[in-house]
Amino acid sequence: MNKQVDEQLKISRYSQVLDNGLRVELLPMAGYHKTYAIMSADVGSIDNDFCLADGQHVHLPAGVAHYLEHKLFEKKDHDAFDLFGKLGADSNAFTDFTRTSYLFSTAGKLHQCLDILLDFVQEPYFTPELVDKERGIIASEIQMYQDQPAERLYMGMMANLYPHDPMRNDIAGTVNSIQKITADDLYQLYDNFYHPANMSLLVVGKLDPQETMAWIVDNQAKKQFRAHYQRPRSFTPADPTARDVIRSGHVTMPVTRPQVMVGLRGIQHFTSGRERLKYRLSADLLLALLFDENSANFLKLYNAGIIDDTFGYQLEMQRGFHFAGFSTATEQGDAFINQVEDILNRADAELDRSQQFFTTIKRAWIGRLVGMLDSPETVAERFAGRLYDNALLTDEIAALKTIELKDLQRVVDLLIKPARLTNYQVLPKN
Amino acid sequence: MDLTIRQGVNLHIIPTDQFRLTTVVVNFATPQTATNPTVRHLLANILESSCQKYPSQTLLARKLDDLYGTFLSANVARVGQLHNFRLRAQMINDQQAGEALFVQVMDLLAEILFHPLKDDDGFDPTTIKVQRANLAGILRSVTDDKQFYAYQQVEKQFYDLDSVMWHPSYGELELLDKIRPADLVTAYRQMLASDQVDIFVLGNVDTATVERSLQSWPLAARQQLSTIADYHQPFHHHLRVRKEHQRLSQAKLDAAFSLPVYYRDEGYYAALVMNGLLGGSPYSKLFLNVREKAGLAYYADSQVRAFGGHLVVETGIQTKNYSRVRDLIKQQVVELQEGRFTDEQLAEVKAALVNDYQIGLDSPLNIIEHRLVNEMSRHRELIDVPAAVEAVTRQEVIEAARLLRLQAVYFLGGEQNE
Repeated sequence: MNKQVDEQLKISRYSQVLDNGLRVELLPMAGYHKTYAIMSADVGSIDNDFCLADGQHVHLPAGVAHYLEHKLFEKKDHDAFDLFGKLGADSNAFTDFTRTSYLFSTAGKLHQCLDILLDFVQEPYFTPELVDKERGIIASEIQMYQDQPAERLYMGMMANLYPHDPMRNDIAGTVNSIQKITADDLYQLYDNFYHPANMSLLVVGKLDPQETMAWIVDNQAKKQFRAHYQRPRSFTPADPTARDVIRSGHVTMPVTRPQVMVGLRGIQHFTSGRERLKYRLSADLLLALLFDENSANFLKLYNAGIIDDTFGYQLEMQRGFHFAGFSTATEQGDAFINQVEDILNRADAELDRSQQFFTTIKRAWIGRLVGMLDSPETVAERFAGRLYDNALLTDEIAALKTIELKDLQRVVDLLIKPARLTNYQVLPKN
Repeated sequence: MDLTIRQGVNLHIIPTDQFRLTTVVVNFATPQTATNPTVRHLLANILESSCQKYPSQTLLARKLDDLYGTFLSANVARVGQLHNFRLRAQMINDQQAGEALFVQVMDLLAEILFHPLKDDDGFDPTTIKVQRANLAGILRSVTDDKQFYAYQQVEKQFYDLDSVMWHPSYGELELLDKIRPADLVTAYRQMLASDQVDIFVLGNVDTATVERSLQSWPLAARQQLSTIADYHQPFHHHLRVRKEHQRLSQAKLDAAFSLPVYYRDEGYYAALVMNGLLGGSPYSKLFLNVREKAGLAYYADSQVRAFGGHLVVETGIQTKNYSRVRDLIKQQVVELQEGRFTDEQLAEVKAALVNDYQIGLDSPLNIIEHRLVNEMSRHRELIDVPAAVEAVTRQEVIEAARLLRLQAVYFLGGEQNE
């Protein structure tokens, strides 16, 4: 077990890759009552098309990763959810575009909860009957998203930004696509992506590192896994040059306030996770410099009534793709689109006179990231495995400290291209 | 550590080295009226956006960024019938910052509270205009979140029309337009002069430094609150039912039951356990029987309104299942009243409540909220909550369930041809 201590941030990290390939990270936090554990597989909603080592192509219906996540809790004679429940622990799971995670939080029942987590994730039980039973629940979940203006806005923007890629669909799939999902499909996905070598386990909060690692090792020693695992090749964008971006779109639905989102697609490839992390942090700072509450741009838009407190922006970085999104509720959707695009296109000139502001923003971000270390959930959920070469929040803080204005310039050069912009609006009916 | 700075101005210091952040909450409490939520909400939005020293949102935000990204916000919230204006700040502690950050943030809070962007004629007109428009937007869009909207509607059905509780704590659109600049000044002066003030500081702080940082705050002595948070209204014998329809694919059915058990009353923890069995946890009857077993709801849960004397059930269902779900909700209540739950379920719910309580001890805001609620309800002594939960008996749960009496139903249907 490898131990790293950060004296300044007052946190220690214990890491080990087990014999079966599972990466384990332990972060004890003194004074805490809760322990938070998250087990993630490097597979998500966009990985329903993949190519095995022997060249065979597999195509599964959209929404299969999310469906699997729902069904993994259920076993022959029990539901893992109830096992956590009996211990008073909370458990949950979520599926993202490129990652699926299973988690629990407990105050004091760590050993039992860890065994439940490892066992239910590593012992699938999918039958046609159980898979059928879930269809209605997932369909109504998809329908519920359809009623939410913010979801429609986001998915509409995504469908414009990636018209030929799986991200155009909701993570849960569509009401149609999930009709076709079978128990065999779930096993196909599971057998190809839920190998320990494609997974990680992070435990944060109240814990003793030696004891906790021993529990995990014991649990794993009782199980058999394929000795040689090679992750199938999955998602690559249909058009890596992003010439397929659709310029604009809208939907009408019963909302009182219109909403609008601008998307900007990036196409940069990264040779290492740490390079990707540095790019993302630089992009975070760049967007803050251009759009944060303290920027002149923000105030101008705010005072003109083009944006309000619902305004948000972010760079979303995933395996194989990334994009920036800017959204607000507003009566002036077209003005918002013009202004955001104009600010992006002027980013070059703005950076030139921003050295002092850059220093301020960087200081603020360091403070915010340090503050996040107080939350075991945030520490655990920010961990993105291979995406950033197993960087933790502490590594993010260290990387952030090295970023200079020229790194932001590089992001401007690589990311901001007018041809890769899209916009989408949710407009009131009538 | 609890100190009285002046009568009606209380300082609560909670020293701990668990966190890298220091949290400060300045709470101003007064009985809610029909109109004060709206004006106080607008006031909160005005105060948090600027001050004389940093006279624009941009300049204030830059100052906060210079203070290592200190988080600052002002908002309003209700504890029972008490309306609270809250100014809140979170910053990394002086050890992490490597400088005396805490006192700088306290000085900034004093600027925000005591030197807002205001002259003899009142608050800055541009700020009022922008914040009024923003708040109007927020109040208008409350109806977009259908789950919350339905919850608000069942609350309105439950509360008597002449009750102040009928008016939401975050304000009302119809009242917003009527607020004159002079009303804002009056509300501001009243708040500073007469509200009970509770200041909470939690983190790795030095008590003497905290006290010193407050010495210059011009808060005069005032009466401690004479009202407490608990709200009572007479039981009404006529069941209030309201239905409406909108174009939605998912309908909502909410119900409010009278439950005259208040925070820390005898029977309070039994009521919490009862609620956990009914719909307050994922192992509850509503979740298991309505959502999981019958597949009739996407969500089905319940919560105790510990200062309002009632319990609210919320469900998201299909329009056509209205009658079935209404019957099922009733049936779950009857089952609790008849003691039809297992010892295992009882133990699970207790374990979940204890787990939630302990997990809450890892959140500074949660710790402060708990203390604040204790102040507002005059239950200042801290008790062993896990022990109180564990001590709840099956019979006490049944008795709590027997207090449940249906008072209001609200149904938001989807399209009627479904």
